[in-house]
Amino acid sequence: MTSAANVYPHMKVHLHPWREDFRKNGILYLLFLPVAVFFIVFHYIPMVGIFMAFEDYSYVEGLLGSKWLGLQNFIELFEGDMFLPALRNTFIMSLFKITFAFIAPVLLALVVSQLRSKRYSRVVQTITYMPYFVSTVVVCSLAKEFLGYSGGITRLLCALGLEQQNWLANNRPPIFWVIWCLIEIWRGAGQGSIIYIAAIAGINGDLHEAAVIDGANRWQRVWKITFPCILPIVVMMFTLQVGLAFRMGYDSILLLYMPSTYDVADCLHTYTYRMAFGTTTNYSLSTASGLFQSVIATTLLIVSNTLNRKASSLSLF
Amino acid sequence: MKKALTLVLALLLCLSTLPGMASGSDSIKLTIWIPKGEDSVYYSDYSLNPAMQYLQTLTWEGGVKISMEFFVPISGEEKNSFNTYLSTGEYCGMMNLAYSDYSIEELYANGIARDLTEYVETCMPNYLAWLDANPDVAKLCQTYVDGEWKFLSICGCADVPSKAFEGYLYRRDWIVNYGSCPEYVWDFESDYVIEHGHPYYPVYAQAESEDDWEGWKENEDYEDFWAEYGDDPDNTYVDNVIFPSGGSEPLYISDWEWMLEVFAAALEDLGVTDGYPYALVYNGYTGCGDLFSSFGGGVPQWARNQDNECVFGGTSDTFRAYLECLSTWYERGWIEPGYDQHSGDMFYAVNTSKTHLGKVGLWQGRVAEIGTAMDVDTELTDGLIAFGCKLPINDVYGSEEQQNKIPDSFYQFSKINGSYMITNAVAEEDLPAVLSLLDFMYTREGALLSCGLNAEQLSKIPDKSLYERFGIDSAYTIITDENGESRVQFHKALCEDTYLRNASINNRWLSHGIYDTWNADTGDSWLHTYSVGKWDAYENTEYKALDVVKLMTADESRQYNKTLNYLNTFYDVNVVKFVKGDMDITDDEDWEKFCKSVNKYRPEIVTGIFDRVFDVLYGE
Repeated sequence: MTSAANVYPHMKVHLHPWREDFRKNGILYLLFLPVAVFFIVFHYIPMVGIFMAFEDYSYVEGLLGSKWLGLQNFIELFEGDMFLPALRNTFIMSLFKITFAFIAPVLLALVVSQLRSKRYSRVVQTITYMPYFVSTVVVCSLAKEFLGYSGGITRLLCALGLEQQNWLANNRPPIFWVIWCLIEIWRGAGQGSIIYIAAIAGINGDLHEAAVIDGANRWQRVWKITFPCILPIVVMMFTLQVGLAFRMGYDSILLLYMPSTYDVADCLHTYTYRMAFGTTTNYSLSTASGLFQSVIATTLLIVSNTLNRKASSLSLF
Repeated sequence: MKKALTLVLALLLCLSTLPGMASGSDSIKLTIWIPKGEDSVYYSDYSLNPAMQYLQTLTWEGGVKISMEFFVPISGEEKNSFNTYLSTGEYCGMMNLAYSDYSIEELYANGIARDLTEYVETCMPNYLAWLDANPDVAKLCQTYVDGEWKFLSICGCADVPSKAFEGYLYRRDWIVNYGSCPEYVWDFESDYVIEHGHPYYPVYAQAESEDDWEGWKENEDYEDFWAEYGDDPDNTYVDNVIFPSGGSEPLYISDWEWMLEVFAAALEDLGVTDGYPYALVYNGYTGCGDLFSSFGGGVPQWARNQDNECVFGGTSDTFRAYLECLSTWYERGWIEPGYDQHSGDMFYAVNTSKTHLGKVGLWQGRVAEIGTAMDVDTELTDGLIAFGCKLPINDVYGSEEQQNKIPDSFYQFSKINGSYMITNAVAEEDLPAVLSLLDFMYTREGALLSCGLNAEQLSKIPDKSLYERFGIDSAYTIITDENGESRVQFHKALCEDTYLRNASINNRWLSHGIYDTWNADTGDSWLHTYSVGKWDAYENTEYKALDVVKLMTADESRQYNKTLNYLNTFYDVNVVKFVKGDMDITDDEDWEKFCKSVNKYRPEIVTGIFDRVFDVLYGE
């Protein structure tokens, strides 16, 4: 983000010694304390568990007593036949998510903001938000019903001249990815649009009034005023999304995939699930996989942030 | 005053942290971890189970009574619960090992499990007597540590392995309505069949094409099939169905093929376009006692042969013959085209909706589907009567080596039904009392607690409310059946309600199965007993290979699980290619390619591990 000193160069930023700052803002620090404790207890202390990735972890022997394996867990993870397809699928599905699934809420917010009837706008927001509350199991069951051999959507596609089949069992590359992405959009677009709708609502109305007086049509106002105003939020969300995209909704994949679609549907999470929890429980292997994915996600987050900063002078950090 | 109060509180705190045993002069407390309890509508604490209450009224070695306290995890959290106990060091005195990721050897090496050898030899005469009488599993109840066999756990053993609860079911009513009496059947009295067990051409089509009826005879007994349902079909149903092999049940692959052809005709006649003769499990084979093993070659993974050697069946000719069979059936339209898409179905309950709609002829079913259970008065289920059948003997596919081999039973239940470790939370001086309690379970009286309490036992327990609530004065009586064998007959209320029966007996803790309890009369129908009998008909062999997994070292276990994971995924993805014809099972090149891919996972390493364990178990 650009600093206050850059935005308001005429202002001087006074940096207080920390004691003085603490005395003046003690209440704020106190309010922050539970959050800090929460993060320390539930996020930072458990990071010690990363060591499990390098051990043959045993509950009996504990973190310090378990046999040290070095990189053996990572080698086991990487040497599996299905690792490369799973990695490829993870990247591709992440790409689908940070493009189509990311753009959908932005578009929805822009469209909703242009609705003249506030009541209609609220109805649309509610309807699009509701799928977010449907459990993944139910969503996947619905998908199986509709896309199965004799499902409703399959029949519709048949009527359009496409072959009757169970679309979820089709292992030709784009089909599973598209289905998965559409499900993610259906579930997440309404919920994701809320932050953009809020940002749009916060835009100074004077800008639009001035634009109207200057003769700007609706499209021009959206493109020249609304979109630039919410761009910092879009960039922030995009940067976060890039980091999180790698941790995609594997639960839905786990429920939708089948051996015949492993080639296109298997992602790192599902691959790890089979490897680490298939015949017995291997916490070390799953930790190694989690660590590997975290490293990739962090790298992507930093790269995305850097690129954003260079391209648009807007960045998360 | 404050100091005294503080001291008392501190002492109480110290006492409460002794988790396993609280010793007293004439009573000790034993904490027990079991993975599952009973529904809370019956009681909230398993120590209130009538059988457990009875055990707590008895006096054990040293004249002490044992108060039992049970710890039961919430459903789905069994493994977490077990591991949490281990990792915190606050483990119970006695723990079921069903959810342990660690071998008993590791638990012993880490000072958690106790070495019971000395005490078993002095305090458990009944247990030792059973092990002596069952040398085939005796060593599986012990652990080989530093060159000697030790008792590190106590096993729940049974004279007879549990009965199957799942197996193949077929629509007998479709055979009656749509099948035609075979023109020729096997002549079991002919010299050839007496000598070889089957006709010269065991398959009807082969005999017909060669016009060679050696071992066959004309079917002169029946012209048309008929069936009488009677008033209570599950007990009174009779028909005159005869299969090509000459009996009233499908025994051979050729019988199954004849049956599947009938089912295909039935579906066509009924106008069912989305049904199919055979519902195959999604991965194409079952892990234990499957069609493949019925071909005589063991399971797709590892099994023990008669010479106590481990064999890997995943690339064997018998597996190829099995795949050839499935491929042929698929080509004939007998297998559901999308069978491989049911990987998400619960517990191999393959396409239950289609089966229950009456659109499937042969499927892998459960006990709850036997007989008329699925007849729900719809057009396709009207008159539905499902019979259980044995796994088929291969008489069609592969060469002579793969044919006419007796299969294994469908489910490979073990004589060993769970094991328990006694942890260091039990004080050494209390071990004789605890082990004498466990030994009591190996007496006839203790074993019969698996059937609940009789009237005399019931009078001794403090809380009789469960039995009184359902008007039970005695959970069972011992009767002598028509064969002159004694068996348990449960109280009527316990026959009618399985959940109540389970709550009224020792169903979750260490038990010893004896013939009387195995053969108990639980009010099941004739057809139920007949069908389960078919699923259990053949020898149960593979369980010995499954049990020995627990005897592997940590490194061996890691290697085994890794290889198994790779192979499971590989088979899940590739078997279907042969079945559906994407790869040609009759093409040597395709088969060799498949075997080469399997061998890449080095199954021979696991074969070697099994051989080492077998050497320890069965070697000189």
